[in-house]
Amino acid sequence: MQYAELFCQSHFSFLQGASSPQELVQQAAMLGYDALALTDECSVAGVVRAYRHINEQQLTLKLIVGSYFVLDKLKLVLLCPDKAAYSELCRIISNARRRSNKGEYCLTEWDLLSVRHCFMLWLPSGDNSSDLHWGNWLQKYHKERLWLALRRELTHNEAVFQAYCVALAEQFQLTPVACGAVLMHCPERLALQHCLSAIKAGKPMAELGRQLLSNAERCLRAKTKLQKLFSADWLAQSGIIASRCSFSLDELKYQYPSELVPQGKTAASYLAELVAQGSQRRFPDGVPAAIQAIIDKEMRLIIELGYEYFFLTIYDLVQFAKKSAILYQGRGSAANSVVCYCLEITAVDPRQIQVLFERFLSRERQEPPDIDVDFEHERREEVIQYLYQKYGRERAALAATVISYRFKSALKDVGKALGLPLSQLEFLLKNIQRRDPTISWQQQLAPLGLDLHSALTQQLITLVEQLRGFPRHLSQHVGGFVISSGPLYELVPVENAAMAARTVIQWDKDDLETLGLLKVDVLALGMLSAIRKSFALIQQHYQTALTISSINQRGDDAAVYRMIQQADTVGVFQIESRAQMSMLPRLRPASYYDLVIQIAIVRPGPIQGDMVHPYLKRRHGEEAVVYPSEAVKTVLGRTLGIPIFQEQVIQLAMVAAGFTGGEADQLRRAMASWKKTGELLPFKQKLIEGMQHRGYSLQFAERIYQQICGFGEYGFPESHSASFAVLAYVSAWLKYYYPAAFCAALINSYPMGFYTPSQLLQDCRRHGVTVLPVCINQSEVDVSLQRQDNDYAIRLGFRLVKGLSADGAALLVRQRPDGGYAAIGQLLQLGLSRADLQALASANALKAISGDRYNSRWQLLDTQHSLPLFAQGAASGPAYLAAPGQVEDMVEDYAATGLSLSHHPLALLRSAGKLQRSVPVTELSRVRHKSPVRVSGLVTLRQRPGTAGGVTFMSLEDETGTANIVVWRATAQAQQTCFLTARILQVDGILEREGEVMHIIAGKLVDLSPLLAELSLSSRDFH
Amino acid sequence: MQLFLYLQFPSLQLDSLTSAFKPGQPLAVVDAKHHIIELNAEAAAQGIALNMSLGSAAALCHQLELVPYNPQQQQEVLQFVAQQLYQYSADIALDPPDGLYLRLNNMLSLYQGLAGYWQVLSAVLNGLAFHYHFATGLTPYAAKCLAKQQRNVLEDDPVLLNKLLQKSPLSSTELSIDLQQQLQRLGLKQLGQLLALSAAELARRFDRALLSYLGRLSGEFYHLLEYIQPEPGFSRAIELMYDIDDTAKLCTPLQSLLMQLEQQLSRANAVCHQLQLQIRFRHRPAQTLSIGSAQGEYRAAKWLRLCQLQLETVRLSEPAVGLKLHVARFFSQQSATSSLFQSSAQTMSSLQLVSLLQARLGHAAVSGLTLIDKHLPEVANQQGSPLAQRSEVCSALSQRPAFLLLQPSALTEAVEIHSGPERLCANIWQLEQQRDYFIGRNTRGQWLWLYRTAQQQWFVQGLFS
Repeated sequence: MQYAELFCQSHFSFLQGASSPQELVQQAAMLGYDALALTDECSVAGVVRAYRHINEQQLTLKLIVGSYFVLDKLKLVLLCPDKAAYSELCRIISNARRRSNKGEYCLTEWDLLSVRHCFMLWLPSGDNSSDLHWGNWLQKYHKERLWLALRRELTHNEAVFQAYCVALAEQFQLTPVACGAVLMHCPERLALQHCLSAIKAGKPMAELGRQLLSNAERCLRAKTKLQKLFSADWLAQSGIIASRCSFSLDELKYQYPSELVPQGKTAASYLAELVAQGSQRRFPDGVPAAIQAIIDKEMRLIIELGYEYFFLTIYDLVQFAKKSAILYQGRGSAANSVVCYCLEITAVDPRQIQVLFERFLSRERQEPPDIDVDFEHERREEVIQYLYQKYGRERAALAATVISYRFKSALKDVGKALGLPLSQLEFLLKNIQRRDPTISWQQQLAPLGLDLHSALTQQLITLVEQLRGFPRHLSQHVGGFVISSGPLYELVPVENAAMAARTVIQWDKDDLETLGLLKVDVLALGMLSAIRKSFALIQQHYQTALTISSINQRGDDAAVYRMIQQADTVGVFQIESRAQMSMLPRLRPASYYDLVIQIAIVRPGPIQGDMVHPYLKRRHGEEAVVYPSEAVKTVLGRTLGIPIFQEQVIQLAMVAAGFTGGEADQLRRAMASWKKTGELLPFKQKLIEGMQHRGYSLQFAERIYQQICGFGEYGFPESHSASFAVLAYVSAWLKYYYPAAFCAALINSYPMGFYTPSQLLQDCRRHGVTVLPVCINQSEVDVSLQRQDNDYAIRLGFRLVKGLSADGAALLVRQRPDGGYAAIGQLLQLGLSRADLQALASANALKAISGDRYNSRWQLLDTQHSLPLFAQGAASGPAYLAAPGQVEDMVEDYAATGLSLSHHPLALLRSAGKLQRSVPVTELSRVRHKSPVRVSGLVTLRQRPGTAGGVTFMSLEDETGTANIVVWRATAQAQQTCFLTARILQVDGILEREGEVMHIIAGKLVDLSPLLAELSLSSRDFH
Repeated sequence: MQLFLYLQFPSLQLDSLTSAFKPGQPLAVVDAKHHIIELNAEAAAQGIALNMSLGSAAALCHQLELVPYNPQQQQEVLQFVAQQLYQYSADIALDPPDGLYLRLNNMLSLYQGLAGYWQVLSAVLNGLAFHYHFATGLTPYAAKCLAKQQRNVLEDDPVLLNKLLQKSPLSSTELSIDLQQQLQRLGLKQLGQLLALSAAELARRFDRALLSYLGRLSGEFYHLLEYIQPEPGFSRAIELMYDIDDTAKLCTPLQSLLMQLEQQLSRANAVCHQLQLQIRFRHRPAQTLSIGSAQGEYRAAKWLRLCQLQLETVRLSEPAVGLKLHVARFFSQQSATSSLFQSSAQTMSSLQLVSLLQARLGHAAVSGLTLIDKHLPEVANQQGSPLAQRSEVCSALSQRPAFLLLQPSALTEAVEIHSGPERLCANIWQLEQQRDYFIGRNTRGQWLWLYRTAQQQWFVQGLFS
């Protein structure tokens, strides 16, 4: 018996379908169905996953692409018999989606009228007048491609409805066809389906009553059962329809936009021409033969794989950025090529770091070319607008990102659906500790007051586990653009994103990869903004023109690396985090490639895979560098035999375990998502067997597998690290030679990076740079440099003043008289808003004209000032209020600008004698290893990394610097109140030193926050 | 000179609940925004503080028992406290959610001075077992300001009181948080600094709220307080002229009590829903009957009839010597006639009927039938309180029988299946508990509602009429 399921919704019909596309096709194949139509509601978001699963598992099941629509009382399924029908479906979905807000759709009669190719299955509603109307209408316009779909779900009074449908079919001379209206791949998903319905309705399951499915019949059912439920004719008809559907996603061929190539040239010849021009620019003294050989090799590969347009598209993009003076930098496997260097997509000079260029595109790996381009974060929108303008909204759209249920969202929604009180749920969410791998969340429920043996708890656990990983909605990818030669909506439906004027396609990046569609990643990077602003400040004040590649071409600067080795890297790209800083003195990078490793090694992947220590040992010659084979040496040679980069793991699978390119690519994808889906397990056996077969020890094989698991989603590719290292070096160079300009540029690009402006400025002052406060008569909008005593000082800008509008700041600077403002009245006359004036007073920016904050505010409040008569004079009157004290000033500094130049709170406490025996951070270097010590400081960081096994890292900042505290879990638990709530903390602990890395293992914690209150203020104001 | 006392009860709701929890249990009241607004000493000892968010509090103390804030209950408790104090102090005004103003002037002469007054009042307060803070002041706001600082000042020296007021932080005033912050940002932290500024300067800079507060605080502006009235209700007892051992004879003295009640109710244009009738005996403890009218009633004749019905069921173990009638609360009367022109054809409204039936048969014996929105028939048909209005109306399905058996019974006779199956999942967690329902007819011509289990067993669950 033939049967094809023609109406089946996956979990991409959000909060309706209770199974994934993969589960559905797998089950359908197992039940012996001939075909399955995936018909999500106004969506094809799941079809590529089903398609990939069928191919990967080599299932004998035909996949039909379709979609389900509701228009008032009309319910229809559209199926795609051929490519034309598919384009039609995409257009209809796009139109219906574009009319509505994100996540909704609005179908019109006109959409349906325009159908010329799609098959239609009509699902009568049971409302007689509506069914008669639509029956007539459909029969009139679509007779030749119309069927009446019959369902059997064993519901109340079904026999009557069945008879009614058959009568309708006779009346309109339609052929009936059986369908299952499937929402689940197996009956056991009924509970989850009820739960989804409850989430959708926003009510507990118990309140939904008969709105819930009464039984589990909407699953994929055995063919024997279907034979009992439907007549043979109706079942056979499904097979007939399926056999007429011949469209497959294979047929989708991506066509690049053709306007990139000038008339009369081919893409290949044009690219070759551009590369030739570029190579002359990059190598003015002539291209070295070795380099030319690489170029030729790369060009052959590009042409062979047909990627010319891809490179041209990116070239076009960066040309725009270059013309608009937007700083950019390419990264990714394909980006690290001489071709990209010549096309000015990257600034990684191949002469410095040849080692990377072996790993350009590869036929074997079968992975799509990967070039991400980072742009200055403040100006990326210009690039995006350029794309839209050049290709039109019809031809360019962002890829989707599928936002899935994660543990917390799943627990919250399932809990609500089960009727748990919201306060209890919030309690659970706040107290379940997900970072600790040793104790599962289920085990944690009991101490939090849930009875593990109660049915409710069991249901909660089951449903949360099932719901995790389910998609919730489509969101926009951070910057992945799809550009095509024809309208995109013929290739894939387009829908509205939450952001105004943004559209996304219904597929995510994995889907695009599966179908071989290329996307261009247009990303935003704060550091690029900061570097460009540094260059501008240096040009302005030092008359030196710098570029990223000019700094690179100077070669490795030993002084800069010395600074890096001392972990003096606040503000330096990528190597400024606490973890990176503690690694720098150990790894002691001394060259560009060391930086590439440094950036990739301090990641959860290498740390969990336990690769850091072996690498350091080998680097310092404490452990012999050995390779199990020559083949492995080729892969791991540059990292001393330890896999550090994601690519190395993939290459190892190919070289050592004999994976084919395709398998390795599957492994790469599985690694990216194994935490969610556990997809790595199938590879384990193959990997270990493959390696043993090739003569590697089981132990080595197991270790490689563990490393792969550790890498998981945290592995960092060398190709990205290489580009980041360029920016890391450039930013370190700027910090070393132009600390004031670099610091000002960082703050002017804020928010970005790891540190607040306050921390950046403190670091800068420790390097001897003078910092001047915000002043109504001296400051610019941005932080600027001011000449002082033969050097440059940093003058804080109005942008740091919290609550001051950008317009207000600009107005203030534009209208400033040559001699500066002399009275508050003048400011009032400018038309600045009250909030702006208050913000200025709070930041003490008016000090020059009214003395102090209190009197500035007092004058601002006076309504008489706004009268023209009083505009000039009144400010000269005597101070009416007492001036604020040191502490008050400091607190207000923090509140108004997030930093204080006058006093550090710890300095005030120290001078008031409140810090008994606390050692200033700068003097910690004199404390001996393993000796007890006491430090006090503002808590600037409280971080519990997933890799640290229950350890919390804290940073305590005092007036001299920042100390690193390690708090073990038991310590934290025993002193929980203080640990969680203290703003100013005193720690008694043991100082440990490893090389130049220093931290304090916390023992006793004391909350010093109340001390500040004694100095007449509350610590809350610091944050 | 006037003198006021302010009493503040920081944990009113919690104190009224404490007895329900075991001693030593950390307790806290949380408001709708999940902030802690009341807590007991045990909770405070765990580091929990007022205004802390629920999450932080929960992290600090896993055993913390949480009570949601109930404004109505809070108000009732405050009223209760006021009523208790009213017997000793005349002018009391509520300051919800947790304070009371007491005007002392007239009281001081009565109690011969502040100390005497406080001796009596504090004895009453301590008997109530609520935590409290107090302070006196020359104006209501002054007293409140000092009480909020938990200063527990009992003083009538104006100079001293003024001095304390001057030193008070702005946070203990009634000024809005915004205004307090604004003032603090001018360096003004204590009331004294604020009062030292000239009113004209302030008026140029601030709106009227500030000046109006300062005026009332200093007594320049009149502060109107609404003093409470004694609680309404009815409570009266009579001694019988002679011992009565027949309940029927109790009706005569009862009637006179009910007439008094009717007079008081009609004066207040009110009704009551519940009477407590206490029958007192010479030796045994008194016996109390509750008589209710769901509709609310004021007429003595109607109440008498309800009382009679209940008294018929009572056997006196000993002759009665007295009666006490107690009504805790009155309710304002609402007209039962829904339309001006609709003549009241029924002599008894459904509410009255229910009252009557309940009085005769007992509360438990009277119930109504409801249909709720559930698939499973035994869950869908439910008994509820009579006349209860369900919020959602649920329509009956066409193919459901009018009569359900209390328990499905095994099918033991031959039936002819007429329609089906309709499949119902009795438990989504145990799919094997599914049932396939059929309509069938037995040889006697009865239409039966049948189901078959997954184990192929047949049961009858209902009968079609």
